[in-house]
Order: sequence, then structure tokens, then C-alpha cells
Amino acid sequence: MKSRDRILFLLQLLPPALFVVILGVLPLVLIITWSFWEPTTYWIKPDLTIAAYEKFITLERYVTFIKTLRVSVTVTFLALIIGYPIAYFVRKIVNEKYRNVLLFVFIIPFFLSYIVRVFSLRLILGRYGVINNILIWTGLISEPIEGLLFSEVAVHIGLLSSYLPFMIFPIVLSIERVGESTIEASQDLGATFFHTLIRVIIPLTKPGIFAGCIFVFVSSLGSTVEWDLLGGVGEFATPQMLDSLMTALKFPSAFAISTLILALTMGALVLGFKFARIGELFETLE
Amino acid sequence: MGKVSVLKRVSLWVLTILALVFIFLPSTYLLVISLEPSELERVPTKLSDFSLRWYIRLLHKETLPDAIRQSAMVGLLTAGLTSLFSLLSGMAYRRLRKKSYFLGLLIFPIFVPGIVGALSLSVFFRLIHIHSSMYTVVLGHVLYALPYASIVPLVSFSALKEGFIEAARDLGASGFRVFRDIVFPLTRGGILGAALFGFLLSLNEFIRAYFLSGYQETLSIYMFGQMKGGADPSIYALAGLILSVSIFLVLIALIYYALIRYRSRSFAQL
Repeated sequence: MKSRDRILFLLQLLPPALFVVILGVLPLVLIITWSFWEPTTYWIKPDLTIAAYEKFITLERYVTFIKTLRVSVTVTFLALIIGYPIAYFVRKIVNEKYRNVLLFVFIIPFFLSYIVRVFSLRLILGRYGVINNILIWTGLISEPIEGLLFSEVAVHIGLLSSYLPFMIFPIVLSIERVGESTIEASQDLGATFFHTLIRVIIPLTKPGIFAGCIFVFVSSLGSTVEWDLLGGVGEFATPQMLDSLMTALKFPSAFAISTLILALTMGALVLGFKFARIGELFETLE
Repeated sequence: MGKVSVLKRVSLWVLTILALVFIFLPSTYLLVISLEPSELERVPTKLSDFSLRWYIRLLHKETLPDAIRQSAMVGLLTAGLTSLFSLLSGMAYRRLRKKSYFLGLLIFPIFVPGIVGALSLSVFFRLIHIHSSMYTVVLGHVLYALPYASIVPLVSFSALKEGFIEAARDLGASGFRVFRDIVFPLTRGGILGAALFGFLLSLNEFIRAYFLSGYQETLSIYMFGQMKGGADPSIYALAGLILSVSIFLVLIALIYYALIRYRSRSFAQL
């Protein structure tokens, strides 16, 4: 019976675990390795060369890379500034009746088409879009503003609207762990609301802040649709660069850039686990 | 938290509502626009002007039915595999000692940027000589959906107490019997939830489908092509249609989820 139990347990554990290891982890290890291989006409051959990384510098591919990073960091920062108060409000201030409704409403976008959501922003930002119509109607401007759509501003807006919920949820989870008595103790000792916020609540919710920032940053870094549908003509980010490198069969270069992206995200993740104790968030789920 | 001033409370309500408007207004506006019969990008001026003209136009799109069929197949297969894996991981999870490692592994794919995950998987399939097809998209989608979907059964599995299973065993139930009479009834809400989430995430996913699909495109790829190419207003109808279907399924899933949470709480009190 004991050994049958053990086999049953392994039959439950191994399929999902192996699935993620083989299709989710192994391919990443492969492309990291292959970024040091040498290109042949149609594929690659084993080698140990940093040629792909040199091209990243000499062909000025880093310019696009840094631009994408800059946009992702800005979007992450904006999402934090907007998302933190909302998460705090939803978890601590609003009463329970509305809380669940609000949480539900913020979950919905996870399961809607992000292509459609990004595309619909065109109707808001375009020449004849909602914003221009409102501004003309109120008399603030007489001619539609042209630069709203198909610009880096539009890309920022698109990314922010796509990924704001990714910031809110981890923070809600971590605020859940801050006890009511902790906050009351701080206030009973005479701390103002902002003092409590900065000295007590924010340090205690660091895991959620880090996790949210990593989610938003990683998602923005790998997002193509916003750039494709909202960016200006020739507006080009790392994902488009990867796509065109793959189409042009320049595999090691594509793998090298992917490796750099992975290094950044995994670095952030390791930092998050080490210094912000992101792991604690998982315990909330248990 | 009684010590929040009215001003703060009101300004936080305003901020939250503004954020919701920011997230939902564009899609809602698109739904309204899709009902305007003329070629103009505007809200129908009179109530009687609302029309399904562009939705009917969709019936005449030649390559659309194939894309819909492809997405439906990929979605259903993804839902099946996702719920199976969620069920298995939920059952294993209860008995694991180092729970957080397993959970970390399951959630890991969330932290891989979409384009890198898609690209690495496509070259991996190439290496082991698996040609791009519907099935490669399914595998990519299961990997993408599993982190989100597996959380649902984990919650519903907390309703399943070790004692229930032991009691059934002591009464002489076989492993299958335990599963049929105890495990499945208590967790089917979570399993169905995982399937629904898997279907929805797959239906609306773009970048992995783009990298992993073979000749036949999915609905998302089809839509993306139309959006980039500047199609006629029927693209609004298609977008509106996919949005409505998703919202309908999300609401079902969320109600289901609320129910199982409620049920698992009442069981936890036993």
C-alpha cells in the first residue's frame, strides 16, 4: 500500500512538473547556450563565441534595447504610483461588500483579448477619437491633436492599461498580510497617516511591490502588440527586433538579445526573492 | 481602519474609478462603435441607428471560419490539458513537504517575457523535429495558462481534508472510489474553473500562437493582421464579438470561483 501510494503521488506530481521543466525551462537554457554558437547558412553550429553579443554593440542594436527598457521602467513606475493607492484602498479602506466586486472587476482584464484592448485605444487616441472630440467640444482646441496616436506616448498608455492589474494584485496580497493591529499601534503611538504609510505599511508590503514591479516590467519588456498597433511608423522595440532577426535567420543574435532580457528578468526575480521576500506572497495562497 | 479622513476616502474612490474607466472605457467604446451602420468611426446618433450590419458582414469573410475553428480547437485542447495538469498538481500539492518550490515552478512561466518564451519554444520544437501545427500552439498555451489556472484548484483543494480520504479508505473504498466519491465532487469547481481560464487565455493569446502556429492562423493572428492592414469596420464587429464571448465566460468563471471559495470555507469549518 505504501509503495502504491508513492507511485500514485509521483503520477500526480511528475506530469505537470516535467511539463514546465521540459517546455518552460529547458528551451530557455538552450537559447542561452545557443547564443554563444556560430551561425551557419540556415541554422547554427556548436562553438563558443561572443560574436552575437559584439554585433549587439557594433550594429547598435542596444539603442532599441535601451529604448524598450526605458519605456518598460517608466510604465512600471507609473503602474506602481497608480496601483499602490488602489490596492491599499481595495484591501484596507473600502468595505467588504465593494471589495470583492472591485477585485473581480480588476481580474476581468486578465481574461480579455489584449489585442482588442490595445486596438480599442486607437478609437480613444486617434485623430477623430474620444479625447480629441472632447477637447474640441469643450473648446480647448480647435484642431485635433495629431501626435496622440502612433507615438511613444500611445505605447506608454497602451502598456499601462494592459498591465496595471498585474501591479494591483500582488500588492493586494501583501497588504492582506499587514495586520490591522500593526497599523493601529502605529497610529496610537501618534504617527500620522503618511508616517504610518512610509515607516510601517510600505516596508511590510515590499514583497508585493517587488512582485508587482517584476510582473509589469517583464510583461512590458516582452510585449509586441502595443508597439505594433499604437507606435509610430518605424517605431521599433526589442520584440519587433527579435521577430525580424528570427525571420532573417540570424539565430545567435536573436538568442543573445533573449539572453539579455532573461538575465534582466531573472536578476530582478533573484533580487526580489532575496531582498524583498517575494516567496512570502505564495504563503498567502496556501 | 476607521481613521481615514473623508477627503482621502473620496480621492481614493475617484482614483480607483478613473483607473477602471482607463482600463474598460476603450473596449466598451469599441463595442458601441461596432453597432454603427455607416463606415464612420462614431457612436450611433439615434437609438434606431444601432445595427448589426458589420456583424452580419463577418459571415462573408472567407478565411475567418477556419481561424475560428482553429482557435476553438486550440482553446478546447488547452482547456483540457490545463485542467488535467491543474488537477494533478492540486492533488500532489497537498502531500508535498516543500510546497513553495513546486508552486514556484508552476508559476515560473509568468516571469518569462512572452516573446522570449514563444521564441525559445519554437526553436526547441525545431530542434526535436516537431513541425509547427495546432498542437505546438496548444503546448505553448498550456504553459502560458497553467500558472493562472492552477491557482484556482489549489484553493479548491484546501476543501479536501486528509481526514475525508482516510475515512473513505478505512471504510474500504478503492483509490478510484475515493477519487470518484470524495476528491472529484469536492474539487470539480476548481477543475472546471481551470478549464475555463485555460480556454479564455488561449483564445486571446497572440504572441505564442504567432510563433508556434503552422499554416493555419488562429483568431488572434487573423485579427492582428486585419488591425494592422486597415480593414473595413467589420474588424470592430469581430473584436466586439470576441470581447462579448470572453466577458460572458469570465463572468461564469468568476461566479463559479466565488462559489467554490464559499464552499471551501464552509468545509474548512468541519
